[in-house]
Amino acid sequence: MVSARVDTSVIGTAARRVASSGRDCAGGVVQVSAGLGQMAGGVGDGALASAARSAVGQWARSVAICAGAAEAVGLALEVAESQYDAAERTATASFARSA
Amino acid sequence: MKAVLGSPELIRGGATRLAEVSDQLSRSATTLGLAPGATAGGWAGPAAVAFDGAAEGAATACRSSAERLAEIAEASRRYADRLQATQEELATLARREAELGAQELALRVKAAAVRPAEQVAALVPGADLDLGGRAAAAQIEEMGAQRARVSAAAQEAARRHDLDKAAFEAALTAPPPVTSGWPIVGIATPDGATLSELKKRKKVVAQARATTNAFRARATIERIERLPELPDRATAKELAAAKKSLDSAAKTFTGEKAAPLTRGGVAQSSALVKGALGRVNLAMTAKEGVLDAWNGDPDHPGFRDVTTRVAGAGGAIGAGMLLVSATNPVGMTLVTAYGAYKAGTWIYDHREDIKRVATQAWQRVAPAVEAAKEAVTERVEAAKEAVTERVETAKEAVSGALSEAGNAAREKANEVREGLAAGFSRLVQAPRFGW
Repeated sequence: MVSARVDTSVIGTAARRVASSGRDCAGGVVQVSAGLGQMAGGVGDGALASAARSAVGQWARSVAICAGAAEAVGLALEVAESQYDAAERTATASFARSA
Repeated sequence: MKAVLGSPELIRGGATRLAEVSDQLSRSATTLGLAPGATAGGWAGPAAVAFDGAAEGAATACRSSAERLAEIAEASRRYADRLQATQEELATLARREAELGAQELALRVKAAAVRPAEQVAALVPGADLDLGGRAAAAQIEEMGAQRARVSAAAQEAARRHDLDKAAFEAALTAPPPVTSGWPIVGIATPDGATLSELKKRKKVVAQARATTNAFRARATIERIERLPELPDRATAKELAAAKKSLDSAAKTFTGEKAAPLTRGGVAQSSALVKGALGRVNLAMTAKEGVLDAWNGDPDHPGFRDVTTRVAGAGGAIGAGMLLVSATNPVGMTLVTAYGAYKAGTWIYDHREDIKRVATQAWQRVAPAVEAAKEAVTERVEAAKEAVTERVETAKEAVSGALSEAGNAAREKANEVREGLAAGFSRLVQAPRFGW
């Protein structure tokens, strides 16, 4: 049995920080596409330009996944925070009724 | 000589963008990596353990992607530098080759004069018309060797560029370290929620928070605007923050700003709400709704308990919507339905009291009517008819209200109250007129 201890304000603070970080990462999808596109325009060789262009899709997806993962962790924390809050309110209401 | 095309500046620009993304991913990885430590002081248990794993998985993904992007950015800068160096070297070699070509042409012109000079010398003994032609002919060979060395240097530069290009291409085409989504997150939600489900839940959480914030903000605005004296600087700031908070909450529900408030905290558009909802007090409705949703109806377990919870939740949400957007039709419907349900259940629960009061009213009215008959028959008859009609209406209303719990129930409840009030007021007034 694992002993439990919950301070929802601590979870909430971490949730907002992580979710914010995930949202910031989401901007990287456009940025990485633009960067590789710029490179494709900058290299004079056809094969290199083709390699840069085909890397755009892969990296855009990869960065989106990372951003989504960070955001999902933040969202999960926010949901956990609200569920703990709800559980605490339910418990409080039960005690109030039984008192 | 083979030219090497490309723009080092554009490649460096692209590399800078990739480096920025890498930095962002790296910062995110740090944030995710610190999260388990940040929550450790206030959160322990199975969920916390699961969260630590998820955060670490996401942090690892962000970190590895950041490192790979940094590598590509570095490879791009390196290639841009090498491309620029190769282009400069080839340009130098091309200039040198052109110079050598010009010099060789001049030497060949001089060398071309050797044969005619020899012919002249054969005809005119003692004549020397060489003019350096033989020396030039001797230098042409050396010039050719120099041009060959320049050409070899250009070929070597092109070969090195091919190697640089291959290395850069390898860096570009290597697959990213993160190619699949959900497994890296590994969030152990009890029901295996997907990302989209988590986002939906987040929306619900945001709306719940927005409702709470709206209540707080509205209470603050009302409190400050009712102050007898002019607010000081801090209070004015508090008022502005509350209005901003109310706007923010409104946007969560409607995407629009909240209706402006006049002095006294009454919404300008609340006349519409009042028209639609009568005396319903939004704050009290929401509070009662939350309590009903939370507590249910412990005295009536089963269907009524569930209905009370659902109706309470609807009332609270509807009141929240109206609080931030006074004309929200969904909010109006929810609050009206909740009010009707509460009125219906109140009537049902107090049906015996209502019957008793109605009966008592009739019993008290009847003797008064009988007594009045003897004094002023005509007026008493009229009063009796009026009172009887009211009481009958009340009885019918009670009966109707007991059979349905909806909008009709609420209207009937009002009729009941009005009818009883009218009956009592006539009773009170009767002795005053000397009946």
